[in-house]
Amino acid sequence: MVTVRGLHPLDRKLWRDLVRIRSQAAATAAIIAIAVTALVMSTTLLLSLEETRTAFYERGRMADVFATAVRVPERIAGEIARIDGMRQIQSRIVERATLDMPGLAAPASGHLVSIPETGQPTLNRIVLREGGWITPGRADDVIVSAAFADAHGLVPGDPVFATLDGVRRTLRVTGIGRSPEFVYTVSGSGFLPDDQRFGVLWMGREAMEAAFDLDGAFNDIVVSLSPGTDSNRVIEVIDRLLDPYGSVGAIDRSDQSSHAFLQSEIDGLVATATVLPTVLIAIAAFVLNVILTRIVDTEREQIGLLKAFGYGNLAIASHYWKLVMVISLAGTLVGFAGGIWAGYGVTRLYIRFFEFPALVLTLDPSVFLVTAATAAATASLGALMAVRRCLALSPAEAMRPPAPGVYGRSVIDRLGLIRRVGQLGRVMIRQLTIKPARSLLTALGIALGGSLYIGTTFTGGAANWMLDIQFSFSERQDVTLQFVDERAYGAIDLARALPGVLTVEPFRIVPVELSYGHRTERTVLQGLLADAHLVHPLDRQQRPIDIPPAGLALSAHLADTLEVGPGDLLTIRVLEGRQATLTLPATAVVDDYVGSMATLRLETLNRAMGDGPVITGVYALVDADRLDALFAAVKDTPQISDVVELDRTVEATQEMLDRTISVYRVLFSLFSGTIVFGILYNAARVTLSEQGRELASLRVLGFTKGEVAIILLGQLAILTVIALPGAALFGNLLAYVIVTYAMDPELFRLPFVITRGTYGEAALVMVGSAVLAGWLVRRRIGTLSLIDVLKTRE
Amino acid sequence: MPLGLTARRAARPDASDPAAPAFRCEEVTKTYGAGEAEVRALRGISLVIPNGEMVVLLGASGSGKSTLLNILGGLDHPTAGRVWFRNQELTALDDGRLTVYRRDHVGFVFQFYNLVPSLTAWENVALVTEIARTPMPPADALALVGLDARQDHLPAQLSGGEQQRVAIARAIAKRPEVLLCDEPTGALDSKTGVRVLEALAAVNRDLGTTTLVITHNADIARMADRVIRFADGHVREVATNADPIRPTEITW
Repeated sequence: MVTVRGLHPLDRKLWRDLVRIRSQAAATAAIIAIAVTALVMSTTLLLSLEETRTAFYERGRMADVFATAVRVPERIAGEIARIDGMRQIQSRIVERATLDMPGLAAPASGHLVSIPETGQPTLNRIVLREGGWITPGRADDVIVSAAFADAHGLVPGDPVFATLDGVRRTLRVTGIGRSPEFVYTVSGSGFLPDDQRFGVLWMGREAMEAAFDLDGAFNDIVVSLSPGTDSNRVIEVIDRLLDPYGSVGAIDRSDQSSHAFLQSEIDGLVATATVLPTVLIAIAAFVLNVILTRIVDTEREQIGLLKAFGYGNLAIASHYWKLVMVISLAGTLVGFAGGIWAGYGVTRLYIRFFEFPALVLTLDPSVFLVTAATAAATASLGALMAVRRCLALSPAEAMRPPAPGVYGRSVIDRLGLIRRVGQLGRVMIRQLTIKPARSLLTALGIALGGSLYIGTTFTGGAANWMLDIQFSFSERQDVTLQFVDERAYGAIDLARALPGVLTVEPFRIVPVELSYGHRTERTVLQGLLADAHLVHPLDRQQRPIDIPPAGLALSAHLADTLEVGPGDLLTIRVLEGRQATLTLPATAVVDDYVGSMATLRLETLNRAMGDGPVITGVYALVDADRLDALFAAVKDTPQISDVVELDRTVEATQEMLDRTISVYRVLFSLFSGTIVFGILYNAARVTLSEQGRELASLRVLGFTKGEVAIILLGQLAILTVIALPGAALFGNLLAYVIVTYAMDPELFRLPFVITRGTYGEAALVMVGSAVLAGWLVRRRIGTLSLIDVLKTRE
Repeated sequence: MPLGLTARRAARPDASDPAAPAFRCEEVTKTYGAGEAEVRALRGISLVIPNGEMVVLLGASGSGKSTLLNILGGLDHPTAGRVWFRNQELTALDDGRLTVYRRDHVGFVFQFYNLVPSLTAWENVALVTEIARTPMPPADALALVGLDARQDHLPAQLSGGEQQRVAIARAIAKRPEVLLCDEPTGALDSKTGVRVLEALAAVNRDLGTTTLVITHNADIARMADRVIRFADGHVREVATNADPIRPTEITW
């Protein structure tokens, strides 16, 4: 016995009670720990991601406004620098190159950004990881983005074979680094980074001027603003200044692709960090109440005894409150540790999708305070609700065992169904039906535990389902070939003549800004043949959309953002070439899953643009065996800028999904499993203490341990089975909330689809936890004393 | 088996020789605890209990009678010594085989009835007949103890005496060779107790069941064929009674 001298007798009782119910207390604390872990984990991830970004942006001096044009005389940069509120400015040249990487059959895309030969640019600086700066006067020196370098094993000194403006060059890597404007990089056609196929190359300004015939000119400018400066006003002035030079319109940082993606991730995390812990804490509160009620029920006689001795309600309530607080505090502390561990782990995993030079792991002390307080309040509420009933009894009544419940009146009895069951089965069923509310609440708790798994990991199945639809029905091309610029329709023959190409279908993509009323949205117009079958927009029932002859078929998300419906006239500002402004009606809304675009007929697009038959690329079916020959040919075809294989996109997406989802599966099977285990273990232990005498009597009558265990384990099994459909129901509810409120719809709209696999996994987690709880309690049945029960009255 | 759930059964102990005495004990010792806390409940008991007798075990609390009954019933192991049920040595059986022994051969009646509260009188009896080899119908067992009209009542709806008679019906329904009763009337008033004793006597007389009854009540001993007196873990006296009285003649 642990020495507890000097303590108030009630506190000694508290301590010994805790030791006595330690395994139940541990199972209960684990549930609190899970909720705390989730809260700390998600806030740690969110804060760390934000802090990591802030640190990188400050260190790399991330620009506030980005503008691109065709060819701007350098003096204009001076005019831009004089705009009110301007802090720093960096004019530069941004171009693309085709890279021929050893070991990679397909051509890779190089995104070339000019830097001063002598040192860091004023904005969007490079954080060098290894190597050094380019050497002034050496036109072939480049600094390579870290992700690309890692994908190809590049080190300083290595050559990179590139085609710049049709000229093959051998560039030399001097350094490897990262810049805040390329935290998340995607090439033109994908929405996931493909580090093998896309890299950023920083090259000397003079070398780029020479290579792209831009002497004394720039085509890209980034600026930072003084605090409090309205970026829209600056953008307007920059647009006006650059308009004569082929500007496609300046954009705020919030529209810059890397930043926008990162921001949408953070927004998603904010939603997740709010929804998930809230749901978990609500579940934990409920479960705690169920568990504590059961535990306190077994303390009923002791409560009566204490009252009989003259302890007041407050003293007794605070005694049990302390008991719960100890459990809660233990759970909270474990949750803190778990949350920090899981938070750092998830952050490290998460951060790999982004290119940050350093990870800033951040903990917010206030989160710990709030979490501890929430956990304590939740547990207190559970405890007080549980004790309240016992306190309401008179001491004499409380000291008597509870009046036996009214057996034999359940539906199962009244319908006569009970006659089909043997006596052990009857005992099992009547134990559950005598306190139907308690049984149902327990089942509800189990169901909520299981629903957590469904409601969080369904995203994997749903995303796979969506990808399957997208890439089996909507996009059926093998490769997409993109031309350097728009080409006459005849370019189709150029593509068709490439080795291995079987069928081609032309398309034209035009970057635009759509406006309706005061709402604007940047997107692309996709011109397709009316009878296109390789790539064709589908509705949610996977039926091909009839592309209207005169108007636009808009993604539902886009239509929602712009608040347009069929028949509304959209103003379209073209973000390339002459920057024409068009007006076209929205004629159909496509309830699609991936991307956000406006599709129209190719001829409609060309007519509206005032062009002849022009295309920017083709979708093609190719002979898989001749893919390498195709890639080799593309490397030697300067008219083609990019080739994207669909399989590779699907694989990359799949891989990213699998990586994320597998972590979530582990995490949430742990969360769900702990909750289910905690409830069932506690239910079983309480049931065992209530029915121990009965079970021991059965052993005396000649029932084996196994047969007696069936009565107890059967009750757990029935509760678990009842909870399964409940878990599916609540899982659907939670999934719906997550799909609706916690997912950023910009890139894709996750369908509200829960696969059978997800249900199956959830059932496995629930049943597995139940089996574990059952196994632990089953061992105790073996220790029931057969003699003690015979000598004592209930 | 009910529910189709079949527990793994241990091999049945061989106790087929009805000519052998019901129980035989040789130098049975039972010690609880160790060192200073050691309690010697039985201190080397040897005795023989013939078949078919009504045996009363008398003695003060702690004299060792319950300990012996538990060992004879396969609920406990002696610390030393050997015990036979007919020609089967109980002390050689493991827990699983003792369970089968209890299931097949022994009926128990306890002071506090130990009925399953969620089962009716009929169901409490059926609980045992479902696992017995040659049971009588539960209704017949209840009729033997005069409870045929109360079959569908739950324990909570029955008086103490009625509950004890259900317990007796439950114990005899499997036609056990031995019936072990630990203070069966201890919680009952005199009138009810007599009815319970009548039921026990009827079972012993009509079914030939060897019946061992523990009691504090010396009067009850007058209905026994054999009376074994315990004191301090020893058998002090074994007396046979040539002319046992009827339970109705007993009062307390």
